[in-house]
Amino acid sequence: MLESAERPLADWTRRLPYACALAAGALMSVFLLDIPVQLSDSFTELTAVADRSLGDVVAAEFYNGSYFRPLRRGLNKIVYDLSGGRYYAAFRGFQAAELLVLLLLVVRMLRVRTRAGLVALPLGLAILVGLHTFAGAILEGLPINHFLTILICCAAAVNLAQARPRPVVDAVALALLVFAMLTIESGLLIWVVFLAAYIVGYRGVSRKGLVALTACVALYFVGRFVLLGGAAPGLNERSAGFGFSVLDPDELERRFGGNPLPFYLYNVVSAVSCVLFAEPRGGVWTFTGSLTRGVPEAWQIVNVVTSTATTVLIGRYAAGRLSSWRRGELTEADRFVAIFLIVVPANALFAAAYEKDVIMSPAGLFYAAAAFAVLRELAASGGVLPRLPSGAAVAPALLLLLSVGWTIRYVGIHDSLRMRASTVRDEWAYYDDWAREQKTDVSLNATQAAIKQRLQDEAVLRPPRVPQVSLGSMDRLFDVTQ
Amino acid sequence: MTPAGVATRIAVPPVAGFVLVAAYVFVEALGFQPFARPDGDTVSEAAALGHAARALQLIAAGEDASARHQVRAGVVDREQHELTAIEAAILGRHAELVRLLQRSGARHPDSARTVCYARMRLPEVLGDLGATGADAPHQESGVETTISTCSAGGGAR
Repeated sequence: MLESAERPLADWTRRLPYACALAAGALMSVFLLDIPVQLSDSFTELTAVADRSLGDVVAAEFYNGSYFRPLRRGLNKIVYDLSGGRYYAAFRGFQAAELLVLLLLVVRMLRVRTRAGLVALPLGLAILVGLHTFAGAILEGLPINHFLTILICCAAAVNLAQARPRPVVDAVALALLVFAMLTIESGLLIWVVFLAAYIVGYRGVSRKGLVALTACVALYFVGRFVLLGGAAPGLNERSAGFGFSVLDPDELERRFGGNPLPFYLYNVVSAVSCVLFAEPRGGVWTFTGSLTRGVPEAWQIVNVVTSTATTVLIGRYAAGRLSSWRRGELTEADRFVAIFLIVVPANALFAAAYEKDVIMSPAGLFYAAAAFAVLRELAASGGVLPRLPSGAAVAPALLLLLSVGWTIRYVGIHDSLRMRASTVRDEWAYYDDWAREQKTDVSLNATQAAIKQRLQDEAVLRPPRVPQVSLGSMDRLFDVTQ
Repeated sequence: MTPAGVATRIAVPPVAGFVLVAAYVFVEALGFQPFARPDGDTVSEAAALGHAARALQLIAAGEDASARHQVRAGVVDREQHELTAIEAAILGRHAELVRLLQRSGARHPDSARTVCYARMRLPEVLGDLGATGADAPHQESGVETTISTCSAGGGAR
């Protein structure tokens, strides 16, 4: 039986993993495509690029103070120009395409070549898209979700690292890193991914290529902070979670203005914990707070229990394999677990200024990959982690609990997408209130007013409206906060 | 545990989850909407539920925002009612929607009854209705109590 599970896939089943990815992505896209282009964080992005050239848009972003994201708005401009005025179709279509590309790249990265891999894949994908850190990458438009773009870059980086070493791979790796780090700050993580992949034995990117990537990162810091005079975000940029509540910028300044280091440290630790245990969320210890007040919500229990159990499983595997790692003996599963362990703390550094679940989405991607790798080992060996000392069996009930828990979270993200469609429509209905509440003036010129009218009509008046769904008491299992 | 047992535990739940969601989408595409939350068949129902976009959609489609429309049993309480959009929004306690409806041209013909509703359910919109008492202490009477009080002549107070 063991041999059967580890047997390579037959020819006709080799494309099944990709079919799985496409099916999951297509189904999610159905829900995604029902969400209009959102008003908050998206509308002004469109008006900002409407009457300017691509060159102007990109150049202006090089001097944007504490944020350095020239290609993010550049990408918005490209899709805007290509849309021909059909903003909803262009931007939501782009996001759906990004989702499909991501899932295909992830499946390619996971190298599903055995029956055990095929068995573990649905749960691996459920973990990937059901994880709370992924929610922000799919529920938000912005109007192009740069976090989703960075996830694609992460998966592409591993694919490149797994490739046959060739100069062209090094060149593409360099282009990928430059694109990612000019899109959003956390794009720098692509360098960490390349480095981690090299450490675990993937040689698609050569040592010389890695040196070039490292030089590129150094150049980024020199360029951004020395030549362009950029600065890191301060405490007064936005509200942030701390302890059991969210502190506004003034309160953050009052508490940590003199010495922000404890706050940064808190955020880094919180970010790591957020990925591993689904607590805290956005820096706020909501589950713990609920526990102290009584019984937490059902969805909180589902999230924390499934994440914690999965982390324990990965941790148990890693601890058992440590001695082999020291000897440099790494299996395919080991590589994914090790990359995850390297990426998590590095990713958390990007959440130092303020912790937000979606910032940790790259770590979440590798968390899902590590979980898939361990589950594949379990599937191949009948519930025993095979290369560990004896006694490393996993209780059947725990496996079932994990699988059911992640399935709830997987279904829940579709529920959240449906809810998002409704809230975005209502958001547009209150456009006048939104405009009045903005800190900066949002008076519109003729072009911008036409964009607004088009988007508002698409959001409010466009039939058919798909209603929200209620499964009665089952609704309590779904995370309504994401 | 056999590999087949492990495989079942690992693979079946997520595959079943996918099939369920896909089946739901398929059924919905056929025109059935099982488990759908009420979405507002009239502008008053939409207002009671706080569905601003749906309310505007219905107004744009020609529904009279100032007229009384049916609000099905189970939307504001267990009874069926005839309410204006503004009254329904007040009973649903959606202050922003009351103002949005006003900006969209909705009026409240039975002003005394509307003000009575607001006084009992949503005092913060009294000013928007042209009445006094917006600064009155917060109170939130039940929907049934509000409707029965205001219908029994409370609106004249």
